[in-house]
Amino acid sequence: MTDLTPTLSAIVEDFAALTERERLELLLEFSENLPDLPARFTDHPELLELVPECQSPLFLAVELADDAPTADSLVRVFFSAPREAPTTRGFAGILHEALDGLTAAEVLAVPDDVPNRLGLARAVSPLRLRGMSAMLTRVKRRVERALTA
Amino acid sequence: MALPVDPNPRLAQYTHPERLVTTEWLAANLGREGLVVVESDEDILVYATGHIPGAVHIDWQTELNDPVVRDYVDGAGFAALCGAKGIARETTVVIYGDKSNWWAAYALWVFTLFGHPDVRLLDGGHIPTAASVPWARAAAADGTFKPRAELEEIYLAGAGLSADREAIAYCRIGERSSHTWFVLRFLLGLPKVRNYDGSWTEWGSSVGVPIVQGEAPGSIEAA
Repeated sequence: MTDLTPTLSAIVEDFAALTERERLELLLEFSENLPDLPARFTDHPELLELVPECQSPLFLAVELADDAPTADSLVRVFFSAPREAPTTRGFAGILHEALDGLTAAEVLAVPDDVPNRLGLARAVSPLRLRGMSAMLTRVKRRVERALTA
Repeated sequence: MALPVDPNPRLAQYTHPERLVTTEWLAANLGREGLVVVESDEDILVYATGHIPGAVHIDWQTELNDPVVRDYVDGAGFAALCGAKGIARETTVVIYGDKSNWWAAYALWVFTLFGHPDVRLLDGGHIPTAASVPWARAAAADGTFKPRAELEEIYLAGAGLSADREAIAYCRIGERSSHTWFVLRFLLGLPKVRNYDGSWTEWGSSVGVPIVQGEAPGSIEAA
């Protein structure tokens, strides 16, 4: 059994099945697949939160579907990072695929150590992985705040 | 043999112009025997998205340096890495990288540490993966180093450094300060400048060493 959602579990398995070199290629694919921000954020960058732990300018936003959100409300997550920073974009791409569309309760249940389960510590270095952990922490904090607001 | 020095007059203002090459020089010399171009980036995937033709990739975080364990490669390890990258002792090495040569300067510092005779930094360009990072302040807007007069304003007038004073550059883990070390040592020619490899990671975790808070330099006696 696993403590991960099916999507996250599949991502972890995909990385685990690859060599370290191939893991970097998969990370690059995630960076290429990160969707652009919707216009309501590109027109209003003040709605975005900067993640200073990343080595490149990475911004995120979190939305809950309902006006009075509950643990069952669906969560949307949005990330923005420059194309010149493919590693940071790759981390964002993984988290976007893993978290976008989960319920608030499911997002909060994602283990904090997920970034360390991708087998990237050696290929990417622990220093760089810290940025991904910071993104996850900040998304969860935003969801928590939305539930208690 | 080492390749000729870049004669571009823009480089002549610095103390050691032989430590820099312009993008024009590199374009003219690309593919010449005795030259190896190295890309060294903060972002490990940038090289895979496009690089100068023929350039090899050295990632200093994963290939040579562990900032936590501090297990630097030894002389034999460095020689093995150079061999794998096609670099011999007499090779002219030109290094460039993302974010205003942030990690490239670090790579150059390590090459210098191991006594590689001819290692140069590409001044600006970052072709073809140009990245403009607003918080990189040591470089001009186009990615080249600032003119000597502006660098002297920052480091000599501003920070009070001079040729007869010892200066030690540090940051958190010693990579960004490599950039400052390069500016002080090779562009301004200060003879007594060193890069502190342990940097704040080492100093800040040592019991009993003096520290000073705030912007002012402070003094050992008062700390």
